[in-house]
Amino acid sequence: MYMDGTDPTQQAPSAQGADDQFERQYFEYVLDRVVPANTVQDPNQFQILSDADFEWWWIKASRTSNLLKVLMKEAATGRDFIGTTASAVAGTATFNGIQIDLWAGTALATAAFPLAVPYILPANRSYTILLTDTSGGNNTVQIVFSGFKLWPRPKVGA
Amino acid sequence: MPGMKPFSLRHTVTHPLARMLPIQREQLMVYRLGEKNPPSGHLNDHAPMWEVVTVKLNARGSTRVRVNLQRDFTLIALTAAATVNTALGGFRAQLYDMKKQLRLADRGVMFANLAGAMGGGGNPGAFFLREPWEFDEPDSQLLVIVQNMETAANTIDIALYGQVLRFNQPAPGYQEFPGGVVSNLGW
Repeated sequence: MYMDGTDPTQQAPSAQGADDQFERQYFEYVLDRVVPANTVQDPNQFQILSDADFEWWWIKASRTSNLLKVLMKEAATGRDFIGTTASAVAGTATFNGIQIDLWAGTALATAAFPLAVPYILPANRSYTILLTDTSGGNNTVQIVFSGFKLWPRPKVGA
Repeated sequence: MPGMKPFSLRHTVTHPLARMLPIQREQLMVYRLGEKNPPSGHLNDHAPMWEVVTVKLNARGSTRVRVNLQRDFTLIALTAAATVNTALGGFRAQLYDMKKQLRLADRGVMFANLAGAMGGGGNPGAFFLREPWEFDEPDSQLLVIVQNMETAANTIDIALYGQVLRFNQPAPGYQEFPGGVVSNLGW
């Protein structure tokens, strides 16, 4: 039961919609960065293009060293996609995110991480990726957000 | 998960073999075999979330960590890593749903049997639950008990991938911002 009193199990299948009226175009947003050695929370921003919303399905990532942590934030809402509320983090300092290898790997190693529920990144919205290196060397990183551009289907006869 | 995401492939070319089960890669199967569409069901409009537990433990040390979960956190997959992982096994971890007072394993699960990392060049080690586990009680907490099996200090990372109800959304299906649409494209 949701907060508004509706029960999702009582919804008719049609309420969920069999056809969302979008056509999907394969598209990837690519973030390239050489993270300087030992940088803490190096900010990198990317913005969804204004022409279409983006449905995010996969994360792919390559790096020089796995001693790299990742945080992801959505600018408009302040949403953190990667967080910790762990009560005890024995011996650890500031939370700098998820170890990149736990987040995603390369397509070459068939290690792209699939989002079980695709997520829509709205057009024009900005996202910040904060990268923290502890390898002691420059870390060449590429993070790829793979999915679809959502094109509203033209109305027939319109 | 019951139901499926409203998703249309009417004008999208589809790969006829895309839904075949990859040989010996069952743990990475995100969707059940035969599901036509991603079975998100009521998790539509939820946002992806990675809850990360990082602990540095002394040799043979152990600790317990409570994670306060965002509303409707639904655990879908686990990844894990340890800086030291010898024949001793790295670490053991056991998960509890505190609010429901349930153990998610009867004993600590060895690192090798819990999950692995995605990156690093080896076999990708994310472990997807065949059915997700919902922490749907208010103020749910996840308790993680971690035990270092090594005779050296060990930094252990466990990432819990799931879906959460967006904090600014009263219920799934609602617009993200009251009075406005999620996108500015007007659909």
